[in-house]
Amino acid sequence: MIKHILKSRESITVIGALGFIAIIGIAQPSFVAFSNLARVANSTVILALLTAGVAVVIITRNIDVSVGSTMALSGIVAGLLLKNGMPIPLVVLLTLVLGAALGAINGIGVSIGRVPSIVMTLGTLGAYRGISFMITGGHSVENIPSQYKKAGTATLLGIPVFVWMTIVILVVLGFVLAKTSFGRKIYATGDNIQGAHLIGVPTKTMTVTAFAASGLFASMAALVFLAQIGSISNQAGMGIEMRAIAAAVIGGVALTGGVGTILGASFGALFITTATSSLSFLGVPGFWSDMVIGAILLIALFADSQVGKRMERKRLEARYQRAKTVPQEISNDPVNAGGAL
Amino acid sequence: MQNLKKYLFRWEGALVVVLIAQILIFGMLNPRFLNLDRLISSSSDFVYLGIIALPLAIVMMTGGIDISIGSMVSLTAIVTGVCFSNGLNIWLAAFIGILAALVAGVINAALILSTGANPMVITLGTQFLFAGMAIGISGLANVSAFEGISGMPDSFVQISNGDIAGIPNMLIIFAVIAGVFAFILHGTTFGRQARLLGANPKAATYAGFPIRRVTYLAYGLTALGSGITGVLMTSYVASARADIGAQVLLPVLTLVVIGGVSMYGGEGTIVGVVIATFVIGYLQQGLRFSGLSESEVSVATGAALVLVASLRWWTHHVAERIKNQKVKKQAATPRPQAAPVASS
Repeated sequence: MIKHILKSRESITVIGALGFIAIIGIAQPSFVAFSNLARVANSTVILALLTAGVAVVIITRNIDVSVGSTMALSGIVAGLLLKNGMPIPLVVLLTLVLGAALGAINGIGVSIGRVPSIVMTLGTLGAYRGISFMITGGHSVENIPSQYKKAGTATLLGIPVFVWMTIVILVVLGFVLAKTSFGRKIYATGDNIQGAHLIGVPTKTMTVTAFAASGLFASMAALVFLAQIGSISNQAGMGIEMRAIAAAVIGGVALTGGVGTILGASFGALFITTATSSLSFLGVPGFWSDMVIGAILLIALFADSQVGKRMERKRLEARYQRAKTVPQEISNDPVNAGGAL
Repeated sequence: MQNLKKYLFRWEGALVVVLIAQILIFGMLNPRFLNLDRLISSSSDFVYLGIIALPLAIVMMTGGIDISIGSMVSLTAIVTGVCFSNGLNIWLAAFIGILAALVAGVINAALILSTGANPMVITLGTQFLFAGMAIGISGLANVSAFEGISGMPDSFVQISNGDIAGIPNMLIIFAVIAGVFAFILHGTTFGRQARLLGANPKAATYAGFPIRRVTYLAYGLTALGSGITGVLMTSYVASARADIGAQVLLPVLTLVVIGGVSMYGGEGTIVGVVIATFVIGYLQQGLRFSGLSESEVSVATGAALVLVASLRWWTHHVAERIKNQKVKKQAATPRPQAAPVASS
C-alpha cells in the first residue's frame, strides 16, 4: 500500500516536470529544440547533484542547509589547487574528500554533538562561507586552466558529458539507497531512529554517512561549477541550499524522514530548473523566478496533502464497509469487533 | 517541573554571566569597547534582529518554525518603498508594508493548518513566494536592485537613527516590544497554550485547545515582528530594498536557539531571547573591535551557535545522569537509613 502511494508520488513529479516541458513546448516550440533541452539539462546538473545529497540527509530525518557554502568552499579550494598546477585527477579526488569531510563535520555535530540538524548546518552555512572568504580575501578565483574548463563544454551524442555523468551517478545512488542493505538502513534511520537502533542499525554512522554524502555531492557540484563557469567567487551557491531542499520536497522526499527517492528528487530539480529557465521563453521577466519556485513547492505540498487525505478517507471507508458486513453476533462482541476494526 | 524551572533559570543566569564576562574581556582587549555610551548607542546595530527573534521564539515553542521571516522583512520594505515612491505618506506606506507582512503571516498559518505539512517546508515555500513577490514588485516598479528606494523624509529616518535622552529609539522600541511579548507569553492564556501545544501536541489536541487560533496568532505575531523590523531596517539604512531581509534568517535563529528555546517546542523564555540578543550582538561587536574580519566573525558566530546547542543537550544529559546515579545510590544504601524517611 505504502509502496503504491510512493510510486504514484514520484510519477506525479515526473509527469509534472515532463508535462510542463510539453506545455512550454507547445507555446514556444523553440524551447523543446534538442539544443535547448540539452542546455536545460546542463543547467540542471548542479542543482540535481545538490538535491540528491540533500535528499539523502532528509531521508534520515535531518536537514542540510549548508550545501551552498560547502559547494563554494570546496570549489574555491579546487580552483586554487588547479591554478597551482596540481594534476586534475588529484584535484578532483582531494575536492571530493574535502566535501565529504565538510559534510561529515555536520553529521558528527548532529549525531554525537546532539545539535539539531538545522542549527548545526546553519552554523556551518555561515562558517564555511566565512572560511571561503578568508581563503580568497573576497576575490573570486579566476583563470582556471583551460584544460579543465574543456570538460564543461565536452559533449557525447550531442549531450554534455556532465549530464551523462550526473545521470550515471544519480542512478548508482538511487540503486544504493533502494536496493542495498546500506540504503535500507538509511531509510530505517529516518523512519524510526529508536526502532532502527533496536534492530541493530548503527544510526549514528548512518547519520554521519548521510551528511558526508551530502557534502560529497556538494563538492561534485562545485567541480561542475568550476568547469561550466570557469571561475568561482565566495558568493557562489548563495541561497541554492533552499532551492535544493525545495526540489527534494517537490520530488516527494518528506521532511518527516524515511520517505522519498533519488528519482523523485532529481525530477524535482529538473522541474525547478525548467520552470525558471522557461520564464524567458514565455516572455515573463526573470525576477519572478523565486515566486514560481515557491508556487510550485506550495502546490506540490497542497496536492500531497489532498491526495493523502483522500487516501485516508478511502482507507477508512473500506474499514467501515468491512465493519458493516461483519455478522451481527460478532460485531456485538466488543473484542471481535475491535479486532475487525 | 521544578527541575525544568531550575534548569531554565540556570540557562538565563548563565547567559547573563557570559554577557558580563565577554563585555569585560573585550573591554580588556580594547578599552574603547567599554565606553557605556558607545555600548548603548551601538545596540541599534543588532536589536532589530531581536524584534523578530521574540515572536519566532513563540512559534518555535509551539513546535513550529518560520523560515520565511527574511522574505517578510523584504516584502514589508519594498511595499513601503513602492507606496512611498507613488506619493503616499511615508507613515501610511509603512503601515501598508506591515499589513502586507501580516497577510503573509496569515497565509503561512492557513497553509500549515490546511495541509498539515511540516511548517519548515511550508515556510520554505512561502520564503520563495514572498521573496519572489518582493523582487517582482520592485521589478514592476522599476526599482534599481542596488540602490533601492530612497529619499524618505528625515522624520522617518529618525525612527531608527534618532534617540531620546541618549537612549537610541531602536533600543526603546525593542524594550517595549520585549515587554509586550514577555506579557503575551508568560501572562496570557495564549502564551500558555502555545507552550503546551509545543510540549505535547497530541495532549493539546485532546484537551480541546484552540490550535487553529494559537497557530494563526503565533505566525501572525512573527509576521508582525518581521514587518516592524522591515520598517525599522528601511529607516535605519534610509532605503527600501527588495533583498534587505535576505540575510536575516541565520542571525535570528541563532538568537532564538542561544536564548534557550528548544527546537522541539515547549521550552524557552522571552528573557532568554532578550539576553541572547545582547550576548550575540556584543560578541560580534567585540570580535570586530579585537581586529577580526567580518568573515572571521561569521565563522566564530557559527561555531558559537553549534557549541551552545551541543552544550545545552550534553549539560542536560549529564545532569540527568548524575541525578539518576544519586537516586540509585540512595536506593542502594542499607534499609535502616531509608526506613525513618518512609515512616515519617
